[in-house]
Amino acid sequence: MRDIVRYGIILTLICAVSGASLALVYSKTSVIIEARQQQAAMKAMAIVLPKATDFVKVEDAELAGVASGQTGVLEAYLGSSAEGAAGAIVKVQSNGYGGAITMLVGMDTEGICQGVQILSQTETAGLGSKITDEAFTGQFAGMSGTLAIKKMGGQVDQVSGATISSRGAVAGVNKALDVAKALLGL
Amino acid sequence: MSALNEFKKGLWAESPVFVLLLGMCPTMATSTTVMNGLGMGIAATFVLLGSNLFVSLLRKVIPDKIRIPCFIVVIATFVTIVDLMMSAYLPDLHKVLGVFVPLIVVNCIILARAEAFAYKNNVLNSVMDGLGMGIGFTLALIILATIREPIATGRILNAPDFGFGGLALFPAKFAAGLISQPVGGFMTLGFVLAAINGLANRKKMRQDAACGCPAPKEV
Repeated sequence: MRDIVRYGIILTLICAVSGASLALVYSKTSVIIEARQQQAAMKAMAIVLPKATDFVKVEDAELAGVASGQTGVLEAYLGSSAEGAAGAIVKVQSNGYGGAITMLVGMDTEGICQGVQILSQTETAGLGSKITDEAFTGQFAGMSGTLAIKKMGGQVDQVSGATISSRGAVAGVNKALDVAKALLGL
Repeated sequence: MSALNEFKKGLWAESPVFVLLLGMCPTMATSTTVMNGLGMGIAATFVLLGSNLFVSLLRKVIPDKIRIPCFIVVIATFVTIVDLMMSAYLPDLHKVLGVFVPLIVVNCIILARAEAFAYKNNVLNSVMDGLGMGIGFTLALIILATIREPIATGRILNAPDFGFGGLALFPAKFAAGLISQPVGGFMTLGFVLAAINGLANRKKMRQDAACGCPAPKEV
């Protein structure tokens, strides 16, 4: 009985010291981490919708209504510049070969895709992971309508040897464009 | 003098990866590029140093029966500190190492050194042991990564955190992506271990021959 109390006290003391030092480190680093994440998010948004200078998040409830049953629609932003509405950005998730692919897709008010950024993916390194390359994502800017890879008779060059990853990415872009159109009332 | 020996043994003679064969999981996952290996190595060295220091300091306070939970709390604290610091100051590296940073908690090298060494030795020796083992781990990761990175990507020393794309050795289309997968890691480790053992055997045979002892039988 005595031992249990002694052990308890020692363990509690060690945990308390540990907790206090972690709280200190966290309070110092969390500010930097948050600022950096925000900066990274802003940078990605500026790439996918270069015309816009200001971004407003679409409320989750409204987004759910617009997405009407589509799964994997995560977030959406309306972009605007000094000249008024500039377009919409939609963050979606689609299925690749190795798991979910998360991406940010920007579309202007004419319904033309402005840019695509892959935020996270778990595709095969050296093959499917090439969907994050500029060579692949860069070709979406200027495209509109329902997209497909060239192998399926579409207009997007697939990453060679990674048809499933490419198809997954294109499916995500299509989904995002659909949601963006609905948001902008096109 | 003995403190220096405690430091030196981890570098090569008792290298955690090449001799003790501990910590295989982070080794396979993070020796894909030299920069990743170095980052993981430094993170693990910091944790080893901290955990060995505190376990050794507290070895008279920590009762035998609850030593493992105490070690884990100490180790987890240092791992979380590394995780937060890395995500604040080296975000690209943190993104690549991902889940392997929090998983340093269960890296067997660290618990093994706490249990087998720091709990039984004085502070100076424990710190030296932690530093030596950590640098030995880093060294092993860098050796494996120096082989794997060029084969897998065609480049070496790619370091996005420092805005350096690496030196191109050959065109990426000839790269073998398989080597950056765990399979390739084990293959590389196998060849490196074979080379190390082969060299050690030859050295021994030469020594035996020099002293006139009967040559060992071929195996």
